[in-house]
Amino acid sequence: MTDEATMLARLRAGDEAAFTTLVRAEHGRLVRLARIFCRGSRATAEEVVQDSWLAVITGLDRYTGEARLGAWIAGIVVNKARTRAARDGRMVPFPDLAREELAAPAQPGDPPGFAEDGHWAGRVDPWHAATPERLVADREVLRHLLAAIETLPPAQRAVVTLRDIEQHDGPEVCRMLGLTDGNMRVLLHRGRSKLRAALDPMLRAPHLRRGKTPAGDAGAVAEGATGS
Amino acid sequence: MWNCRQVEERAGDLLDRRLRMGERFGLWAHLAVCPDCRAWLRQMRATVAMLRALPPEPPAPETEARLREAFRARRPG
Repeated sequence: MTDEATMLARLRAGDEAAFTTLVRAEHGRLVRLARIFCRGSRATAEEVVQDSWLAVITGLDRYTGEARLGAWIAGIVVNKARTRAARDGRMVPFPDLAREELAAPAQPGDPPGFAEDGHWAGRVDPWHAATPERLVADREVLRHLLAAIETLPPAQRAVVTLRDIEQHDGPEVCRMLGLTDGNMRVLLHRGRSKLRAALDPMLRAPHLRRGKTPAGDAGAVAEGATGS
Repeated sequence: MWNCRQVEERAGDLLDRRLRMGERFGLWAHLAVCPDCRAWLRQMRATVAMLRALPPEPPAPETEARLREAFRARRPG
């Protein structure tokens, strides 16, 4: 039995500890998800998510298991957040926002940008070698990253949140936001680039000497995917 | 061979494994001689990995208590 099947069985059996574990693990992510559709209001997003948990509790016996448990809960949150935004007359028009953001001139590469010949305009200094998990466990780094996410233009923030933080797949994100696949991918790339640039000054490791990386390492960098 | 600007432009496809085989060779050839692009690509991957690794934010204790109560109310018997 998978972890998810075990969790579902425990929830259906009324196991309160399992429910608490699920709520603690998912609540913050779901609030972040709801905020996308609630124009950033944390209070409204909190209400939407609490309401969604109640719908999860009453819907447990009807849940068919077709979608993953997490995706099913996220779907409930998205529906409720959208309904709430519509009721408040505060729907976020993502296709329009995407068009605006994509019409704005791209800033390729962010800092350091490019020289005339297509090479980087400055050096790209390596980052601190700690694992991503260790890095986000650092309170300063985490605060900095969360602040950078907040400053992204709304459509880029939505796509980065759904794709990279919530890890929904591409077609699902396009459906939720009403975007084409091409637009979604450009927004995702621009958002990621801005976040990289925002993290760069903090994570640079000037003590690492350049040129130490063996050339044979290049393939590993190219192959190593972040999944999809 | 690719230049750095092309690497940047195609980074999204690269990270999401959408590059065709021919394109991958052009990219590898560039990465083999460009420490800046190697560093930059690592940073893009690290950025995505950090987003995926954001720590959970549990609800406020009173919210959690309310939700647990609602869950208990559902329990048969």
